Amino acid sequence: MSDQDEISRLLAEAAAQTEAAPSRNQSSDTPVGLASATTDTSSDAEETPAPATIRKLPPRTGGRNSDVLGLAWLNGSLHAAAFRRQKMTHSWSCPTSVRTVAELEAVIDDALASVEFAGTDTFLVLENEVFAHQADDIPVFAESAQRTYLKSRIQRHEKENGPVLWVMQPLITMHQKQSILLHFLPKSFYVELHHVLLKRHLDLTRILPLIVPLQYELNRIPAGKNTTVIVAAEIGTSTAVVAGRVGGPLLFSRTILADLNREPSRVGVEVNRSLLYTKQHFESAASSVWLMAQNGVSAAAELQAKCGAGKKVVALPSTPVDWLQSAAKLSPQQPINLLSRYLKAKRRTQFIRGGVLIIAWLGLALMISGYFHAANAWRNERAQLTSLHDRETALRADRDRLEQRNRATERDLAFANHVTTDRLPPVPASLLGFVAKLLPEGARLVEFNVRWDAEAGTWSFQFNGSIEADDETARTLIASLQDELAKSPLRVRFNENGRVLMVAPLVTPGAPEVQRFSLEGVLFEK
Amino acid sequence: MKNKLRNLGLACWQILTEVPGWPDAPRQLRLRRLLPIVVPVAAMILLFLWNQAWTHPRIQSVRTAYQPLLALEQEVADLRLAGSDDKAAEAASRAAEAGRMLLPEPKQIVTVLNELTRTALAGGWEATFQALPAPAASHAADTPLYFLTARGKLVPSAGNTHAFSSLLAFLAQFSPPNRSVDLTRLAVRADEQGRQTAEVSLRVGCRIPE
Repeated sequence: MSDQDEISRLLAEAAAQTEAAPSRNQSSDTPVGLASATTDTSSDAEETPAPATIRKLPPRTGGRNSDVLGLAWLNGSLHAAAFRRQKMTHSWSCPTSVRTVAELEAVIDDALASVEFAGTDTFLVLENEVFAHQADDIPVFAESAQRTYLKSRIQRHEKENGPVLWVMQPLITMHQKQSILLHFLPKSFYVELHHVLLKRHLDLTRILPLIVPLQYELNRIPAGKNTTVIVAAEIGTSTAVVAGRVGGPLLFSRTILADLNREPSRVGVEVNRSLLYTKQHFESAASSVWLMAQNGVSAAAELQAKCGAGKKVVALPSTPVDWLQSAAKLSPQQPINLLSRYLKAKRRTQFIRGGVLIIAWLGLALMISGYFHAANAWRNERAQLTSLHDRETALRADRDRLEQRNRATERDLAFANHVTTDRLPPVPASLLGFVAKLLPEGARLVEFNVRWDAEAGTWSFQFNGSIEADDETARTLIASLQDELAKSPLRVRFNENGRVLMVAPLVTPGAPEVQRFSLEGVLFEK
Repeated sequence: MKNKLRNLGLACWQILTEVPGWPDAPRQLRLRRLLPIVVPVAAMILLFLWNQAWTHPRIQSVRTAYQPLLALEQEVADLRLAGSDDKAAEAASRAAEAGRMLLPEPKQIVTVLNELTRTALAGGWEATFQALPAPAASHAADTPLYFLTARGKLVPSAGNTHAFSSLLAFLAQFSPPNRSVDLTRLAVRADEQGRQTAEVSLRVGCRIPE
């Protein structure tokens, strides 16, 4: 359901409540609460009664479509036209004067029925006494400085007159000054108007000052480009005067509170003044005056008389419906739209609210989903726990069996390792064989001892022998033997104190010299 | 600060309760516009509270009650991982093989010594072995075996012309791989005439009876 649908429903309910218990402070047709744009919520309930009318709304014809409704509300005259792809399908003009929003609400349903409008997009070309326009000249600023200047100016205005919707329209730039036209519309008026339209599913997207379609018309005048012209347009009981250059900037605009048909001479005087002002102020004389009125032929003659024979006064049969057509041809994003800023803020608010809504519901969905999964997981876990409880006896038996098995495995491995690693290598035989091989010629062993020292974890050895050589040779040979044994895989280390070399006494005279030796040490080979 | 918070709260209230096109909508309608936001938020809070106050403690209590069983299951899993039946069988096989290397009882050392005597004789040496008495505290409690010791004297047989090489050959067969017999001492002496005698000490592994 869209916001508009929802609000319509809320309004209908509020209307029903109002009907049941009428407010003490207001009439049923005029929503006082809407006239105030205050947002102080503390007093909402007390000060703001339901703004809906009691009158039941007629049903809208047809279904929703992309048609656009144009309303021209010009100083009491109301015109409506429906457009399909910028082409007018139906139009309607109110036979009575419409001054207030309440009066508008009274006739809007007839207008909708007459133009057979079934869409929602609505724009309004507005000109009335509450819609103010202020011309000003400002220095040519940078854009940001200009925005700041305008904001402060609007804030001052709002302090005095209350919140407004506003838009700045640039005019011509002369002598380093930018002429601008500020359009102010009280926000309360907009809210009241918007409320009336919203009840009928009409989305007011553009509020255009009359000058916007008039500028469009001015640019279509068959005159040379950049020719200065003046357009006088009949807007209800008043006359709008716009001066500008064809295909160029606008110079100024003003509203004359005189009816072109009833007081043509007064309008003529004012138009003549505008001509003179244009010539003096903008240094370019307007060559022609164009009357845009339903029937401007008689008034044209009067204007011709007032403006002088040199000026060309041309009557262009034109009605507000034509201006609606011009406005319909403008881009929806064209900048001179009182609602552009307000709609932007509104869209931002709606975006934030929508975001919060999405986050809240998404969060809830995720939370529910998370709890659902957690509940499923817990259900499975619970089933596992129950199954565990059933298997408790088997588990205990398993544990005992496995403990026994693992203990036995450890014990067996330890036993096997112990038996195999505690074996002693055949070191005595190896050393004996090794020493026998290394013994130099002429040497012989007399005694050979190898013993395993269990406490020290080493083998100790001691061997004695003799060698037939002189002392020096014997020393060299024994040292060589020691060196060979030290480098051997048996990792022999000799005790320095244990090495003994002595001359053996000669038993037989003339026999070769014999040296006795004794070596002892340890083996690091286990 | 207080004013800022108040303004922030008001701004949030305005945004969340906004009635499009109706800035000063009555509070009742604003509250109704707030409902789509309040409902999920309240539901989330209730769900959270329900979970924290009811579900979570209940689950925790059940888990606590089953904690010993879970620990038991974990213990069984750890025990399964720590070993395997194949590994146990292999260890048992190795243990049996190692066990066969040991003497099942001390008396059987006589058999070993006799066998060594025969081997020595075949190698050209006459051997005399004597088992030594095992000490009373011969083994520690944590070891699965202990050693019996013996000593022997070897003299070359008559006609053994290669005494030294045959001694080396005998010594090489002294410690067979399938029996826990280790030579712990070797003393070889040669006299002036070149006659050699040898003395040996040995140890034989014996299994501690279970």
